This record gives sequence, structure tokens and C-alpha cells, in this order.
Amino acid sequence: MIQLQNVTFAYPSHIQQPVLSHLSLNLRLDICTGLIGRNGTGKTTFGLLLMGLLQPVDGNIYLNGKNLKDSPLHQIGSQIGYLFQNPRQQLFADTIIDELLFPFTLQQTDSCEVRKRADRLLTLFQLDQNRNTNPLSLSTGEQKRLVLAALMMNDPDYLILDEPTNGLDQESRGILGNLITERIMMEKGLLLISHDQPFVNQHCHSVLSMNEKNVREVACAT
Amino acid sequence: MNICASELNFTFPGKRTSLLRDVNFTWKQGQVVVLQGKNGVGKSTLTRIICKALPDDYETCISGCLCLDCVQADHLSADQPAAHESRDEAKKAESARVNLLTIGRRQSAQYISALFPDPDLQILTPDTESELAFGLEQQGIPVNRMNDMINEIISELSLKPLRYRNPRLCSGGEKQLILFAAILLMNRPFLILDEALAMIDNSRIDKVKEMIARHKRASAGLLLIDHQGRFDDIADEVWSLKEGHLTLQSRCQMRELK
Amino acid sequence: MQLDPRAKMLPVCLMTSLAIIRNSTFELFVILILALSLAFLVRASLAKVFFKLRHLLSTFLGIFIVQLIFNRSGEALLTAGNRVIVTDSGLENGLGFVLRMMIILLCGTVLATSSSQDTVNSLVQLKLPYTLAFMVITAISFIPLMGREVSHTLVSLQLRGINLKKIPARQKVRAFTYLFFPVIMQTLDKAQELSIALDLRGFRSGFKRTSRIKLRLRYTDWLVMALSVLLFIMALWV
Repeated sequence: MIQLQNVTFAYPSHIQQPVLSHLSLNLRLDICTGLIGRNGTGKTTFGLLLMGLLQPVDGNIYLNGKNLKDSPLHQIGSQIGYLFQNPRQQLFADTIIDELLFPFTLQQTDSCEVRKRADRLLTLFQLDQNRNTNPLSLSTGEQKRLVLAALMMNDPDYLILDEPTNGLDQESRGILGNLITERIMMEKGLLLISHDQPFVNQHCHSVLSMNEKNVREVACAT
Repeated sequence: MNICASELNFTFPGKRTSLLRDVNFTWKQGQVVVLQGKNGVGKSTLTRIICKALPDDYETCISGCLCLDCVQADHLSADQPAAHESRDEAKKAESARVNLLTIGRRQSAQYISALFPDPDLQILTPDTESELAFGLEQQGIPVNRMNDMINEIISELSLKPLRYRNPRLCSGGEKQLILFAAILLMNRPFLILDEALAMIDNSRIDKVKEMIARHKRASAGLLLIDHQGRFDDIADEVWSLKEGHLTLQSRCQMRELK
Repeated sequence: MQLDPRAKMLPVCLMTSLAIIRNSTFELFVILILALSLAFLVRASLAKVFFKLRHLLSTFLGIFIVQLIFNRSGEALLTAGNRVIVTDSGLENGLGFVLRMMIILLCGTVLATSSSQDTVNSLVQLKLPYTLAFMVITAISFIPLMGREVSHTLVSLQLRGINLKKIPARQKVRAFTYLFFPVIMQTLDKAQELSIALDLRGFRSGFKRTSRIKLRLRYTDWLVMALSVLLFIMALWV
């Protein structure tokens, strides 16, 4: 569970206009939470806070009971997967298969089991036809699927998807939808940052709405 | 003015199968076209061929014909009496035809402008106002008129809070909105928006649509790609790209199907 | 105080050329004081800049020490037994180097206080071709972009669950390729896309460009410029 306790955040340049003020909420691991709001209200900022990439001005964020401030980035990264708006920022390797495997080969934790998982994920995300292509030559939608597959290699407890449907066609949306359902069944949570209302309504069990002043829960479908 | 393509082919270097095969279309001024297709089917490549935004070394991968007709062909034959239809006229019509595949990007940008999905790569200046002014300054628009145009579009899209901010530090949707405003101001006859409005939220999309419709009435041609299908209702034509082939449907046909 | 970019460029040019012409430590020190006061005048955020460049500053210190130890000409200042450790010309050369570098750094910070847009406009008003001015300024603003790209990539690498400190030595080189491959690719990509975006927005389209912002020199600008020319002439005289 991710717990926010009395979190306040403001950018140093706009210290008078906090993006979040005294926010306390829990993000459950067994449901898919949606985060909606108008452009510029700080949805992405919220996601970056949860990853420990931005530090709250006041208050604390706990990930599975541990304060985010005390966790190194790689530890947070292996527990929470974050899909950035621009997938190109998250692609490192020169082939699709290496993109999934290189964290393991680098740390020499590569094993048969890891390779099997990579194969399974490539099939799941329908990327297994040409696994030696350069990720940068893929289209945006395919790149997003690849990053998702790479994030799933760590089997994270939580996934934060920032505008995931952006640039995805109906079919890729379907794949993403399947992933969400599958994860919920495994009791692993997601945060869906999006303004794609139909997609959020379809997949989220709880929706948070963000405006200039605060975050509040708007709906809770069963 | 029309943009016509006939038998347009494109193959990535080192690949055996073509991405685009014998693509034919006519894109008229005053027409809103929505381009549909799955991920990776070549929509972006097609739009980049049209506005010449492919890297230079891909030029040789394109074959076929892509032209800009400055004189409407049917207009010529219908309105000119047969007696006047001399060889000179034919020559004139020929000279008014610009081959988009041979002219440079800077030249083609006089007719066609475009926005692409990633706003970060397209922001040129450190404040919103200069960003809006950039294209106008290049065209040599007088300063007074430029200021009026900028003020108008800022109030129309309610960009006032962003006016003096650095667009690079705005959120994704705001960046796209600023770029949209900047490209509309340039007032080119043809405009391509390749997923360039995808992050704009629903509260502003109606305003954006209204401005697109107005732009169209001012006889501009627009080509939109949007996976959320948010612009289907204002489209005059829907083109769908599948396995390298482009099929065209006019709006009337779409209605009949329904 | 807000100064016109041109009112910053003139004193900066004069100070840097003086710093190259003049050799004595005292004169360089005076120029440093002048540069510092100019930086304070335009409210440059010195602390931030020096924090960012702290590694560069330690390099300066290293060069200073090397000069101090290995310069053998001149009279001995510090001796240990019969061995000369520090000579006066070594000290002078070392100090000269550090002072010059500091002056150049300060001048750069002063110029950086104007927005890139204003700098382009002022260069154009100085009759420099617009395309050249724009491209030079854009190229300069690309450098910090690359630095940001490196730190972004580092962060996203760690978010993949990679503990950079625990990578075995044999794999370190490979880890670097995963850091620099995306950075280089993305920088090239950005440059390409930027040039496309520029063309599509009508850059160099052949029209006579109009400029929305017309910078005007105010009294303070004139004052600063006059003062710097006066000081420059005096410095040449002395």
C-alpha cells in the first residue's frame, strides 16, 4: 500500500501555489485507481512524488510501510513501475529482447527463469515477431508496450501509467486493458493518470480527481 | 489547391516489404480528413512524407508522385470554353503544379505545416508569447497586427495564465495547446496534426474543434490523426491505412454505412 | 536591476579582453571585483551557478596547485631545506590562471541572466544576421539540455531496478553504453526534430523578418556602458 500523510508539494518557482496541500490518502494495491484532472493541475507531479523523484515540502509518503525518503531509487523502481508520457526516455538497449534482459545481465542475475519471463511478456505484449529490431525504430504505441513489458520484468507491486493510452490504437488499448485486469487479479495495483475518460471509467475501481486546489475521490464503481 | 498523391510507395531502407503501397489520395483545401489505422501501420510516415519531415536520407525510399495543384483541374475544364483551351492554358496548369517530392522542406512549408506527437521537440522559444510570435515574425507580419492576432488567440484558447511562462515547463497538454495556437496563427493552406492534440483535456477540446472548423471554413485543409476518435464528427473524409493500402471514405458514405 | 543584453555584452567583452591583455595579479583582481559587482548588479544567482560548477572549480584548484609546484622560475618563496617548493612566478601564474577563469565564469553568468529570446533580439539589433544569432543561441542552450538528458537517463536506469553501485566491475563498461547510447541517440534525434520543426514554422522562409520585441536602451544601460568604456580606457592608460 502507498500511504500519503499530510503531503504538501510546491515547485520552488511557485512556492505560493502548492500543487498539493495537506493531502492524506491511501492507494490500495488490489484496485486500479484513476487520476483525472485538467491540463496543468499537476497529475504528472503527483506521479513523480510517488516515485520519489520529487520530494514533498511537507509530510511523508510510505511505500509498504517504508518512508520513500529513505529508499534509494533502484529499490523504489523495482517495487513501482512508472511509464513516462514519452516512452523514448525509458529505452536503453539496441534490441527489443535486450531491452528486457539488460538489467539482469548487468547485475549478473540473469537466469533461465528470467529469459522465460521475458519470452512470456513479449508474447503478452505482441512484440515477439521481431525481437532483434531496434526499439527506436518502433512506433510510439509499440514503444509504450515495450516499456510496459520491461517494467513488468521486475514484477513490481504497483504500476503508475502516465497517459498510457496516448498514441495507442484500439488493439493496444485492449492489451493494456487485459494487463490491468490480470494485475488486479494478482492483487497488484495501478495508478492510471489520464484524461481519457472512457478508458478510465472502464478500468478504474476508484477515481481521484485533481484540480488546482486539491485531490478528491469522485466515484467508486464496484 | 489540392494535394494529390498517386502510386506513392515507401520502403524503409534495408526492409523487404513496403510500408506504403500504391497510396492514392486527393486532399482538398477546405476539407477535414481523419487518418485512421493501427499502431505502426505507417500513418506518421505518410504524414511526414506529405510535409517533408522525414530525415533527408529517406528521400530515396519514396517513389511515386506527390503534387500540389495550385489550379483545380475540374475548375479549368468546366469554366473555360473549349476554344480557349489552348496549349498555353495547359502549360499554365502544368506550371501551377508543384512536385512536392522534389522541392525543399523550407519551400513546401509555405503550403503545408505540421505538428507531431511530442511537443518537447517542437518548442522553439523560452516563453509562450514568443512561441506564438515565432512563425508570424518569420513571415514578416507587421508588429501591430501580430500583437492583435496573438491577443486574440490567447483569449480564445484561455492561455492567459501561460502567457509569460516557459512552455518547456508547462504540462504536456498545455504544451500541445500552445503549439496548436502557434501553428494556427501561421495560417497555412494545409495543416497536419499528427496526434498533436492527444493530451489536451476534454474541457478544451470543444474549443479546439471549433477553431479547426473555423480554420476549415477559411479554406484550409486539415489532416488529423487521433486514436481517441475525438475528431470523427467534424471529418469530411476518413482515410484508413491498413497493410500499406489507403482506403478513402467520404462522410456521406460513412453515414450510409450507419 | 534589469539591464539590456547589449549593456551586459559591452562590459563583458571589455573585461574579458582586459583579463587576457593584463598579467599582474593585482590588475586581474581588480577586474574580478568589477565582474563581481556587475554580476551583483544584474542579480545573477551566483550561489546556484557555483554549486553547479563545483567540479570545475575543483579542477581550477588542481591546476593552481600544479602551477604552484612545477613552476621553477623566479625566486623561492617557500623552501624545505634546500629544496624550493613554491616560487613567486609559480604563485603569480597560478593565481593569474584562477583569476582569469573566475572572470570568464562570472562574465558568462552575467550574460546568462538575459533570456535567450532577448539575447537573440539584441544581437539582431546589433545588425547580426537573425539566422546566425538564433542558431548560436539555440546551440548554446543545447548544452545544458544534454546534461539534463544524462541525469534523466540515469534516473530512469535506476528506476528499472538497477543498483548502479552494485554493478560488477566487468559490467561497468557495458553499463556506460546503456547510459550513453540513449543520450546520444536522443540528442541527435532532438537536433533533427528541432530543425524540422523550425522549417515547418517558417524559419528562413525568405521573408523579411519582423521583430515583435524592440529592445530600447535606457539611462541605466547607457550609464553602465559609458562607465565600462571609461574604465577600459583608463586601464589601458595606466
